[in-house]
Amino acid sequence: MLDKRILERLFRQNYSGMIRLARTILGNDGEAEDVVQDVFVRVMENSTTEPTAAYLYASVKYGCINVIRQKRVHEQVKELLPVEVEIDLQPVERQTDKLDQITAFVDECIKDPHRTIFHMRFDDDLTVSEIAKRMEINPNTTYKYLMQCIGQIRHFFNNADVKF
Amino acid sequence: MTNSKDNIRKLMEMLDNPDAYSEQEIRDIIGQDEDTQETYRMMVEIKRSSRRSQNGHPIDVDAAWKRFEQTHYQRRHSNVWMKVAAGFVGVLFVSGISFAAISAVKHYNERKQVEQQTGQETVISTNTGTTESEASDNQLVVFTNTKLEQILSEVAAYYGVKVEYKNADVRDLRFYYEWNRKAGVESVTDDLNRFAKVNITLNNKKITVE
Repeated sequence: MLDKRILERLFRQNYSGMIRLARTILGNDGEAEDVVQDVFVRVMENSTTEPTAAYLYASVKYGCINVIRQKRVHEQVKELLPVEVEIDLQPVERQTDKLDQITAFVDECIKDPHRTIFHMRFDDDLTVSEIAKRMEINPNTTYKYLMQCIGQIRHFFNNADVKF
Repeated sequence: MTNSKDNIRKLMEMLDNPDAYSEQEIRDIIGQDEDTQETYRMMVEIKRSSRRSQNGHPIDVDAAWKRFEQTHYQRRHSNVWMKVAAGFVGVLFVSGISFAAISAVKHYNERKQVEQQTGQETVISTNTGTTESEASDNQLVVFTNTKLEQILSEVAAYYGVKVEYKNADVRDLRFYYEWNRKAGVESVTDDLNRFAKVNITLNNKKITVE
């Protein structure tokens, strides 16, 4: 069992980052806290020496994957969670860097009205018909703009020839 | 044959109202073609980036640590004292066999020391994934993306217990699980029971999955 003073130091140093990672993956504060607490319980019970931060973050990632796998498909798609969860072996840092790049790309390269529509869909979880009503545009145009936004982001990251 | 653009449009329509679709229909729509699958994956990442950028409010680490300490250390502490008290009472009542018990504990400790000397830093990675574990425990087995059936069969073989499935549906559930062989079969069943959808009991050297 790990010494309590070491565990407390690890907890204070890493908890915020681990919670942010779990919330980012799961989008649910309660589930995120359960995952992170479980990681520290396992460290407390099973570790005899101090684990690295990389190990703690990887454990959070796998804990979140277990939570997602246990959800029904309907829940998964409503929360935009992966449906067929593949284990992404990239380091956690590289994955979060990509998320920050997506945010920067949207801020810098996607112009209005596309950007407003994009934020309404992904930040505010509005449906296409709700967005169309608010923006006073045709739902078909809303779909088209959203698909264009996603296509541009995919193109940026994959450098693939994707056109909608 | 519909083109990829139509399939992606179907995906977006489904995501606006998933309850109108069956589980199979949802899976079929997402998996229609590679382009649609990739679009869904990208939408998952976009949603994560949105959560991440909206997730900047401060976190009260001090309160979280106090909650953790209260839940896990105080309970553990009281359990330890209960065990000590029970052990003490036990010694009073069975003093006649206390010598045998001390010998057994001594033997166990000697064996444990030998195991610790020989088994340092044993990390075994199983199944498909490469483990990111940097665990430093002895005899730690990391299951990555592994079916419950496989996890339990290895656990059962190691501890010499049987497994019975009363609910066959859970056999194929996949988990990431770090198994510490030192911890004992009860600890493994406790750990696995923390996963939703898993209900395991251990009786008479038999693990029953319900």
